[in-house]
Amino acid sequence: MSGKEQSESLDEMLEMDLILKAKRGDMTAFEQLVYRYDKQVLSIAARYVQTAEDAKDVYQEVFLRVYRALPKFQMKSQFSTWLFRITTNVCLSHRSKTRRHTHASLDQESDTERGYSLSEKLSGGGATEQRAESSDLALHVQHAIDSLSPKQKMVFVLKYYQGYKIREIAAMLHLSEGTVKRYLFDATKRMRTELKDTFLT
Amino acid sequence: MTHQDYKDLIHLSFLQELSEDEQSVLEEHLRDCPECGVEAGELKHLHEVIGRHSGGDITDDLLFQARRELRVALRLERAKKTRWIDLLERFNIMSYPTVRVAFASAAMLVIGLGLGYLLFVPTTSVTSVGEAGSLQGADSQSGATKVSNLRFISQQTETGEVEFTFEMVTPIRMRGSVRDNVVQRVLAQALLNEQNPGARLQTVSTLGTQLQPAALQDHEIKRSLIRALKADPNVGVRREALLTLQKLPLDEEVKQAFLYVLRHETNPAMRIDVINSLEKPVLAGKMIDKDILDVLREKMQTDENNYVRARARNVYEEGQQR
Repeated sequence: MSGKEQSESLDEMLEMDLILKAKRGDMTAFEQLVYRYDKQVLSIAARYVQTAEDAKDVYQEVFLRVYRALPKFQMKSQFSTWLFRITTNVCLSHRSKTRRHTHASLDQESDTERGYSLSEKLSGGGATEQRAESSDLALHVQHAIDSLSPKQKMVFVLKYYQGYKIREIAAMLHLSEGTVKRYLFDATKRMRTELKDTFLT
Repeated sequence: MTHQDYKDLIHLSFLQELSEDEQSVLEEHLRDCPECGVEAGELKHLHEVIGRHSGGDITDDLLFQARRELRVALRLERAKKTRWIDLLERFNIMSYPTVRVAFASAAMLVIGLGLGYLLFVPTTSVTSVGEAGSLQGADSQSGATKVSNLRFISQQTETGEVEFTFEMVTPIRMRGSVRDNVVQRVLAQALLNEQNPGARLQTVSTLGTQLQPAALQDHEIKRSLIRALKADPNVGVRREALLTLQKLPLDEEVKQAFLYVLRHETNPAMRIDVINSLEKPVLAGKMIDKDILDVLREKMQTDENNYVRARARNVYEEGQQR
């Protein structure tokens, strides 16, 4: 057994231990379980919804659902697969809830809500000048992503921004790998059309 | 393959979802096909544009805020749960004498109807209903019963009499104390036959946390735990079985199981746990027997894991000094 396999095996045992303890109501174990995955959950949410507040709402809703459902979690699937399935479900339903009241802010070309924007909360933007240069591109790409259907958008975010494999996305969304591929192809086609005039010529 | 197939492969290539063989097939095709070459060029450009937008990851500040808000929400959630439990406890309806009488009457009526149904509804003679039929406290959910493998033995057209065998599986819902002998037998069986590793893990965990060491000595439970320790495909189940067996005295059966694990277990953490268990007699100032010393000597020389070798050497040397 290689060193990597050994450490994965130990990690798996530690996670099992945390799940069992959390199922029995141990809040410290539950928090440790949250901290193992919460950055990824927040990252998916941040890519999917439009504001930092929405991303935090999704994050909170996901872990509250996990907390409520954990006693009934039967470990038939990996904990991470189950968690990300909840994450995608919350994102998909959250979008439909917020759509009703975000049209006005989209018209104003603003992605802010309650004072600050998601782009301010995403790191790695580099120097101010670079950010100014790329802001136009970012806006167009984000609009193109927002033009996708909810499932296309979710598959696109999980693949392009989170780097999951197609089979992992299929497991998370309860879809066949063929369907995930089709969503990706359709999403890419749509993105090409949306961005053609501005950036792809 | 059509051009559309190759175009799909180009997509998948940019998504890093192609095998080496598929990648080389695609590259070969791209060398000779200008149409697919144009497609590849456009997709490359699109990926560059999307890649430039990807920016970075979420900030620590956002994560910190989200965690803080989650902690508050969880506290409220727990408080809500506790309030419900308090309310249910306070609203103890059974303390009212009239309600108690009403409940008792209703219960008697249900039992009466049940008995009447069992006694007076004509039934077909069925032999060998299996062990589950004798479980006390178990409710069979007859609506979900599955009959399979039906085989006709004889059929008489004059009298209409038929004889056949079949297998019947009935889901059972059971409620009872884990200290109850029947419940223990069911759990021991589940540990050996259940397909779902989560259920097996929960079974070992329940046995380990709920039962005293004396009850774990029951032949069937001990046998199931040892078998789970040695052969369960899931490392979590094997580990939980080890933790439970560690509560028992190191008799011959348990000792042999531990030595088996030390020899054959692939997980080094499990082997270390076993060495720690085998060390207990040494720490208590007792003699360590030859079987154990032999396996420890073997492991200190051949185990692939440095720490396992070091621990085995340590315990072996301590055992030799006794």
